[in-house]
Amino acid sequence: MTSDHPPDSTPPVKMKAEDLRAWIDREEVIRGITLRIADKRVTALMGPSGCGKSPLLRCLNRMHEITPGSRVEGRVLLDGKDIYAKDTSPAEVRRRVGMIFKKPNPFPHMSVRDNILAGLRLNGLSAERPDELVERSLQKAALWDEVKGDLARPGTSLSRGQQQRLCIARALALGPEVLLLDEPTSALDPIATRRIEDVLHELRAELAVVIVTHNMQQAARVSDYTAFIHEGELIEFDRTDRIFTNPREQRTEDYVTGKFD
Amino acid sequence: MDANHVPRGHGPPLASKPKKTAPTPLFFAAPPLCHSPVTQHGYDDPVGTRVTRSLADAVVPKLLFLCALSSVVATLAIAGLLGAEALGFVRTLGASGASGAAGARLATLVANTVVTTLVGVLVALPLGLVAAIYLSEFAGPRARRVFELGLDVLASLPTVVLGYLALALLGPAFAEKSALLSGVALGVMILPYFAARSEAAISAVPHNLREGAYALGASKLQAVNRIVLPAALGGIGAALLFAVARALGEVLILGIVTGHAPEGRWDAWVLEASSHLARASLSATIEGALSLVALAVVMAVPASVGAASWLEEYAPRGRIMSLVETVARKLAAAPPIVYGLLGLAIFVRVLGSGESALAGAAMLALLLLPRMTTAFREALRAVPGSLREACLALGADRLRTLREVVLPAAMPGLSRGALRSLARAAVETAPLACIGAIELSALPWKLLGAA
Repeated sequence: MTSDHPPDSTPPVKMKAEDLRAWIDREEVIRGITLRIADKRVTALMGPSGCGKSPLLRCLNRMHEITPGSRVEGRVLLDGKDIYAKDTSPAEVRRRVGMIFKKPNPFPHMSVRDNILAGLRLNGLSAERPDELVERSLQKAALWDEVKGDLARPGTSLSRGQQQRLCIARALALGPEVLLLDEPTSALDPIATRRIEDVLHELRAELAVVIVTHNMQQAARVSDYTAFIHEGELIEFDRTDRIFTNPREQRTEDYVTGKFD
Repeated sequence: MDANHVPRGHGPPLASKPKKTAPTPLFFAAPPLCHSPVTQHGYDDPVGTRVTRSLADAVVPKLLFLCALSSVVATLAIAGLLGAEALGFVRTLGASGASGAAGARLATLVANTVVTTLVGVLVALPLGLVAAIYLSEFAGPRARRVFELGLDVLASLPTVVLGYLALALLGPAFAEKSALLSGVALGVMILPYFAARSEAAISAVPHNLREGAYALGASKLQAVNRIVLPAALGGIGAALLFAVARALGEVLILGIVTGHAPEGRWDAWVLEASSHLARASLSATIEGALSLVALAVVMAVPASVGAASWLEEYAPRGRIMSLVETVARKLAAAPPIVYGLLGLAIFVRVLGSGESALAGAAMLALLLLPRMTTAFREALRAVPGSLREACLALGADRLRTLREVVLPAAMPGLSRGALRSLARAAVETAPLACIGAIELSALPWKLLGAA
């Protein structure tokens, strides 16, 4: 399996998975993947349904182990330190590596403002200047202008797309170094999708972004690097333009040209 | 999974806390990439909170586990006592001679009960089903809200009250009190509960099944008949069984409590028992019952929340666990008056003739525990898993997830469950007071033994 990092890429490596294997019950869903996540770039994980993109993503912030019957082997390095090391707490990892889910999941009993501050509260912390943090986080998620008039309304009163951006703002309020997104637009219409993609483009300047998508156009639009995953294996990993114009693997070419079955 | 309990403790050294004058609390506003994720926010995290937090993480799950244990043990103890007493009753009957009067009485009682039950089911089944179908499928939103509320209120009344009303109203219409009259009364007694449960069962049929039927060109009535009703059949059957069991249980026990030996006809009991109940609870016990219930609820709610939280959020999943759970759940569904009666028996036996409200409330709380735990578990289970995931992804441990998100999100369900259990508690105190009016030596068991 080719997992060579493109030689012309200068950005430093933020995360690295090394010979990562993961199981759910007896099924091996990830079969030895080695992958480097560049800092301040968007990396897309692309592949057909059930290929192991989501478990791979969930391994990157130790959410995979929440799944009953799951098991992980191998190493995942964050700034060179193994997040699966014995003395590393999963909570700490998850604070540094934020995650957005398929369906927006704002906390229904909290206002927009409280949703943003929820991450701090859940960690038993308090913000020094909460109003500033709320505004900044919402602005980063391009939601500020839409909700600034009424921050006390329930988070669930927003539209689907707004809710998803609220979730992004909630994750950003903790100041993560990496943001993982698991098909964040699969429940959204094209316009809301576009807005999320714009947000990702902005965030790219500040942190490493990893996005799982089964949508090839989305991968082409938002990502700098693309990993093509099939049946738990990394088939090809390269700069996104090369993956789409000049893939080295036949299976990748079949997938991006729609001949895959 | 255990790793999720680990408190935050691997953060940067506390000494590196940034100055309060740091211009921006957000990481991405600060240009240089810093490797310590927490310090760059300027969070205030004194050592004290960290220590208490890890202590809480270690202690609280164990406390919750104790709550869960007490809930299960209470349920099992109540059921065990019930079994032992029933066995004793049957033995007494056998000893007094199978051909004796008691045996013959029991036979007629059983036969009458069967006939009565059949008549009752014949009355309640069509009426209740039609009401349930109308409510869940045809009623408009406003009508539905009003009817559902009314039905809920009726269903939560003690069935004997309904039976009393039915007998008082229908009595003159029948020439003589017969099994037919008893049956009709029983039908009225179980109707609201049956209709409410069936409505819930029919409403629970997934909407896309209906849509599937409509997409195949079925009319509304066809969809209901062919698709929805068959899918809800199990729930409707269970509703009917529960309704009958509840009514019979309450009537029989009240009959016994008020000191009437089992006769062939139990419609007379209903009249007698429920009028006695009304008298006792109205005249003597409103104040006492209120304080008793309030005390019991204060004791039972925290324990039940703890038990439900442990069972839902912490309990290991396994075969033994699910077996214990199933048993406890089934037992918690027994008629409330069974618990009330048994509670009094324990109360009197264990505490002698002590009549302190505190002891009574403790007993009532113990009786409330299984039912309330079940209700709270449903409420916790209704909180979507995606919210728990969101919390964990934000770096929260389970305890905080529970406290900050799961419990608040479950609050409507929790308060509804608590209110329902409270109503139950009020209903259950009535027979307690009822027996309290009788001399304590006149225990139900003696009545049973003498029968």
